[in-house]
Amino acid sequence: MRNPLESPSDERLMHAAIQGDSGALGVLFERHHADVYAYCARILMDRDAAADLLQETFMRVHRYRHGFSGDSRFRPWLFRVARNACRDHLSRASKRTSTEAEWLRDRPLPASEAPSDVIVALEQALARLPADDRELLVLKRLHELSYAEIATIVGCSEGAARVRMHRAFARLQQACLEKERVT
Amino acid sequence: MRCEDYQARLLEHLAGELDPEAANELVSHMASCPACREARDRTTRLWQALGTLPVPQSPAGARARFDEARERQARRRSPGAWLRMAATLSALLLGGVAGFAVRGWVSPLGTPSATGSSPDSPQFLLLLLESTAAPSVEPERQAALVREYGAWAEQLRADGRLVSAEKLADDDGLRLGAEGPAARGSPDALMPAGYFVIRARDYAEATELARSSPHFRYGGAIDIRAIEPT
Repeated sequence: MRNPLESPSDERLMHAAIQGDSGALGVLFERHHADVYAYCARILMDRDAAADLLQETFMRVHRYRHGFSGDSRFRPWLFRVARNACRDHLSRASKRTSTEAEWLRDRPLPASEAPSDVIVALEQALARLPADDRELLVLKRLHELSYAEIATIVGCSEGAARVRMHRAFARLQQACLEKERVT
Repeated sequence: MRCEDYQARLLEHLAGELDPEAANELVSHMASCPACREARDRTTRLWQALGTLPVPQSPAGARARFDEARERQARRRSPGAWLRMAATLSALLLGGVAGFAVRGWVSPLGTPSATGSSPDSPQFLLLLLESTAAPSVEPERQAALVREYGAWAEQLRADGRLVSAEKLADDDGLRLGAEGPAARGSPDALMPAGYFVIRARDYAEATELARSSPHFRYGGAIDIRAIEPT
């Protein structure tokens, strides 16, 4: 956790970036690149594409920094930029999206930690969901964002974000049950 | 409240987002309802499993790659041909063209007296697109480039065809209300860099005028659109 007295907030760094401080953007990259990469990798299910989209996201932040509103929170804005980059990528490369099998094979695991059956089944169920469902689950559970922040990112009301999250979770439960029935 | 209403609150409860009163109500209902307890256990298991999914780790060298990309862009966006072209066009449009060297360029359509357009001729937008991957122009070549574009623009003006022209700012601008074009932001995207509004009889003549632009020699492209008469 950053000490707010010692390190500037994300919003303050964005303000500095808008004023031409190129170092500020580097600090923001260091702070958030892991989250942006994880989000892109989960949404796209393609690690190589996620590495490119991580770069693309921060280049867009650099390019569109003047569009960042002074009273906005940076993190939801950043995820929204990443989301738009992912959507552009998906619309360009819809025919090249990795299959579930490729995603699982592609996922490097620590040698000492074999995947449990539960995790494998969950990964497969998640992979079968529509990208919009997966996105809600990832933003909520992996990135622990509030519904207000998710609403900003996906462009809906807070209530709608809550409803969509419930539906996505129900579909994930259903997909897990179906998986159990098959195996 | 019905069981399904309680079950609908389970996710908020697990995320710690229920207010204390609602949380207490939920907990006491669970204590007396086996069906809701089963739903709670099922939901909790999945919620916890979701939280243990491995987080994909960003590749090594990501920061260095980002810094390099920014440096490349800064070089590409450094004042170059287009900046000079803007100054040239401003001078042309303000009438400050006295002494401007127009050499080595011949209008494809002859002299104004032979072909000149009337103020009633249709107007066309020539949208000059520039590759974002185009290398910046060497300083020693910039003067020649400015002369080429300037001569082209001046000939359009002398022929009475130039209505207006501007260079766009060296950024990617914004688009509201829709997702950006697919190619936007890709390394070799064609981005609008400037525009000319000209007068021509029809698309054929506008195309001929556009083809005479030096823009094509520098990897550029031009969109031609007829402007709807008002």
